[in-house]
Amino acid sequence: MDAALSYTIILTQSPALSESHLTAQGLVSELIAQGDKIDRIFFYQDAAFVGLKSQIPGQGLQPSYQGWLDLQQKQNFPLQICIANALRRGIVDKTEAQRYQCLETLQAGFQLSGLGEIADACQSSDRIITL
Amino acid sequence: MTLIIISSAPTLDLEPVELLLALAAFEQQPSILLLGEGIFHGNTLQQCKRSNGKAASKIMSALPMYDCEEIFIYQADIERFGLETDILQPFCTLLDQQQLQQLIQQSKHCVNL
Repeated sequence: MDAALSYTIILTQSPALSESHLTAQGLVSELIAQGDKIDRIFFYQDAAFVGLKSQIPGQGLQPSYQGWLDLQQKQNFPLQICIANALRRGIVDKTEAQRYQCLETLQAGFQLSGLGEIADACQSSDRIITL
Repeated sequence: MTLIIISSAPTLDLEPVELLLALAAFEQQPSILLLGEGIFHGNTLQQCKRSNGKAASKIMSALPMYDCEEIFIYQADIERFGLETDILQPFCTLLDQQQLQQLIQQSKHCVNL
């Protein structure tokens, strides 16, 4: 068996408009199954919408963040949303809600992070995959 | 070396360029490749798209200050979109297909935005 690799996955597209989140979830599931390590999932640009906790999906459907939270249960990797991209789109964690005097809208299980995480990924992850 | 590939046209908030600048600020010395509609980031005539916004041309012209001293552009896309080369940033380098493949192959990571 080949040595395990570490991965950073970057998503850029809205979970409401693109299949890329489902594709990425399938990929991450396979990587975990074969023993690889997920360093982080990083949500950039419109992919940040995945962390909006007020999503109300259609009947019988799951909110777009649920698939990520299910995978996070298998291997405890961080689900990181670019903080600048998130704030532009109204996705606010507890700290930023206090700062800007507004409601917290970030789904539990996700975190707002700076772009330094991608710089770290360039140094430490064996593979970076953008979807 | 990390290669940032920008293949989407400039938008209101220039988020792909923000990632490039962040990597440069963390001394990652990223390389930048403009492909497809992304070539318009290299156009010196790009204006800001809303009041108080940032113009792609001004941000791109500042890249050498972040040690990003070369912008690679796929020549076939320049021809495809009919962009004149004399309005590109002065530190742009046009690549043919073979050079494009070499650039991607020699990069440790490619982030496509």
